[in-house]
Amino acid sequence: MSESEAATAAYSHLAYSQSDLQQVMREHYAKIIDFVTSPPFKALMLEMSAMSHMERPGFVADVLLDDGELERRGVVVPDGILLQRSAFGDRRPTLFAVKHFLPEGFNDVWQNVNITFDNEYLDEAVPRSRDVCWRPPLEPAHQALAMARNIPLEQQP
Amino acid sequence: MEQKAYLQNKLEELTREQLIVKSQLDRERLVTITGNLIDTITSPKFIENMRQFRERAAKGASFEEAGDLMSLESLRAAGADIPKDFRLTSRVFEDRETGFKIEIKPPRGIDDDGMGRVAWGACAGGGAATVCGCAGGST
Repeated sequence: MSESEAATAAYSHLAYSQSDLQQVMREHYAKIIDFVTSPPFKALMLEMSAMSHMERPGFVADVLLDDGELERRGVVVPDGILLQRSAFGDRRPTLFAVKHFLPEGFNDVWQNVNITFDNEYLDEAVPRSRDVCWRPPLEPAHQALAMARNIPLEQQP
Repeated sequence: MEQKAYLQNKLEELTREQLIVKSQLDRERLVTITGNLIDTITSPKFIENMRQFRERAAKGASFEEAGDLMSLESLRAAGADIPKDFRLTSRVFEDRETGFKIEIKPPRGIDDDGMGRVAWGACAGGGAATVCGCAGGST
């Protein structure tokens, strides 16, 4: 089967083509990228980057998820963009994500696109194997607390 | 003199951090990362497995079943072309309205070992429900 035949077969269950979906994803990523490269957001990230990895989860909770603190720093979150904490099954030390849902009609397979910001970690310290990656994730607030206490996330049940 | 050296070190550290933030949030870099991600997660093999996963998830699929369709191992075995540094894992997003509210402060007496003081990672992902395909890159 050629590549185009494979694409036709895979997308035959869907109401859009591969190129349509790619275009919609690019448009929504462009909105996220406009936001995260705006000067107020960059300033916010500079502020966070000057903190230790243990202080950053608190900064996310107190500033990034607080509309008043964002406003005080001149960060205007555009309509449709969400700032959220999350947790991964592979236990990487993630801090927050900037997310945009895909529009109706394009969200039956992928629902959203996002850019996710993590505390630093050694790539080889977070495995990519199925048994590690397909575990139930931690509850995001508890994961943030564990990071603030410097507790290795792998030790969390 | 000691204080001067300390301040000089701090200044250099902050300059390094500023450079890292600037490079992480470089528009062209993010466009490239997300473009590569889109190419990967919209490929026919990837989209077909993800479509099946969503169907099963609607009926209450287990993590085991999710791994059958959406692990790197199973996707590669099905012929999907996935970059070596790609990550694919379960994921939950917090509901800001109903999520737990916990005061998060580093407790006194715990030494910060300095890890993460300089760098943090940015990861671009395309996600749905409990799955997020992510590409590049932590520093």
